[in-house]
Amino acid sequence: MDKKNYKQKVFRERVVNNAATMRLAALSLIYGIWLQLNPSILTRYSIYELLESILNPNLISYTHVISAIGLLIGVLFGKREVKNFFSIAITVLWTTMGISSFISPPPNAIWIFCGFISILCYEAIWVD
Amino acid sequence: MGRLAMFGLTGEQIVLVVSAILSMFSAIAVARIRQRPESEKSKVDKFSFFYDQYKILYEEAISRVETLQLENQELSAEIKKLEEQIDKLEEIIKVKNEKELYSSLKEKEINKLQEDLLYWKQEALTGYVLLGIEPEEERK
Repeated sequence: MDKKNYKQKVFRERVVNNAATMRLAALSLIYGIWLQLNPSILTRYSIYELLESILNPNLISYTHVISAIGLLIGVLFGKREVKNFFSIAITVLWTTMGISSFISPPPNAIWIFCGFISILCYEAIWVD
Repeated sequence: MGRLAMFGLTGEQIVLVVSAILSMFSAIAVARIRQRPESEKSKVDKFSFFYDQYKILYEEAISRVETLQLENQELSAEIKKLEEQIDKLEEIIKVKNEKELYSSLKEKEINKLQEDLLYWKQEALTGYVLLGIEPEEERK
């Protein structure tokens, strides 16, 4: 096996072995971009009020996008520390969003989806 | 939850901040627990890569050595034949030198004899003159 084939083999294995992390990165990236394209979402729905009272509304979308890109870089270039850092960041983001939607009025089901995404985040850290 | 006015935050905000901190620590804990000995795995991968490369180079070297040994044997045989030819040529040169030596000796003898012949001819002519006899060659 020559050096080029070896590098390609390593790259493919990295992508396959980090499938859960790649899915998580895609989810966060799409969510962050969607919030950027539709900033009225953050002001229109009351479940975001609690988050907005602590954080700048734009920061929510930016952190999602930056964390997703950082995660992709960490996986594709094999930088384990970078991947771990941004995995933890995304986990915190989604867990916080889940808790926020749970305790924010009116009662809603968003916390269920955010909760499952948090579980996916922990699973990605554990499995990959 | 009412306004607890703790650090200027409401109860919900405190819960949110605390949950964020707890989720961060729990994610770090999960990452630490699950930390794989990647260095060992990558060492194994690197070893297999370098072992494969070494194997290929080793086999190439073995076949190259065999080829060179065959070529060396052929060259040794050719050198031996050429040395035999050189020995023969040296013998021929030796014979030629001997013959040249003989030839030069013979030539010297011929020259000496020719000188003697000339001397005696001169003496004979002088004798003829003293005796007043015409040499036979001039009579003819």
